[in-house]
Amino acid sequence: MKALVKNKSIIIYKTLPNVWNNILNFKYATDEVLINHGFYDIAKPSYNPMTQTKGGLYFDEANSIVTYDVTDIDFDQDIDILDEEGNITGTEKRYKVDDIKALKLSEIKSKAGRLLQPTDWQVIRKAERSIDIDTNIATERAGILAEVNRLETEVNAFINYADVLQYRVQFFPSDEIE
Amino acid sequence: MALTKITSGVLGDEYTSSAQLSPAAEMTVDTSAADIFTFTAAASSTLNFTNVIVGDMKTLVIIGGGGSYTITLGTMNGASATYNLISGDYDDTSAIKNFIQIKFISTTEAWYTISQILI
Repeated sequence: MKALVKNKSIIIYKTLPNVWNNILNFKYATDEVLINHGFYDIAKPSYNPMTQTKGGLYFDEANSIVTYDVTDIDFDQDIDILDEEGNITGTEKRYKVDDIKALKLSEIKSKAGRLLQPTDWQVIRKAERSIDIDTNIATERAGILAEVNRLETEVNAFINYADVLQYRVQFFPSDEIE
Repeated sequence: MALTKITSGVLGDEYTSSAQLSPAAEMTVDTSAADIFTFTAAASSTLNFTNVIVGDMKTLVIIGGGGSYTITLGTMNGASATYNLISGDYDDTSAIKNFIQIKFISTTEAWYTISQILI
């Protein structure tokens, strides 16, 4: 993929044209020839879509490439609070740490529920008919609940929005690695 | 008796001859020497046309060199020139014969078409 830089505009070519101006078989032209005609490589920068935004294409003349602008999201930005008539009554954080924490905690509970659900019948059986929960099941459920505590503690310890946002809720991480 | 017909016998080489060119990075195409110019691509080449006169119509027959050679239509009579592609694509595949017809509408501008056959 190449980009044509011409008159400050950038046009992306998925494939190079066969004929360009006075050059036949242009798609096989050397990089030097391509650059002479304004065709440059497109460099795709690595970026974290959770904490950064990828902007539009621009021509990096110093490096002779066309690339994207990557900008860190400002998680500390404030937004205006408006009343019903549209008047500004104050400001608040656009990205609230408590909000993202609540989402992560909800995700932890949801995942825990799914992990516990297959053995819930033993808990119900115990409550209804006083039949003991199998030892291995009890151990497994205790492990899941311990993981819930661990994960909730980790989430609650964060003070930075971006850190919470990037936090991956993962039960028994060592098991998953295996 | 007045001469009322121009026969091929009185036409110059530029109308009746075919010239075999040697492939090179820079090639001179003397339009006064032949009507048809042929060569097999063996390098990316720039074709510089000389002795161009307005109204010339020349044919280039270029056999592909294997896929990656470019052909640049270069100067006309030593000056930079504009070449307008009417239709067609160039194919450098080795079994392809490219038929390029160029009409010189001035000594700085030409229009051309490209066609192919499989050898």
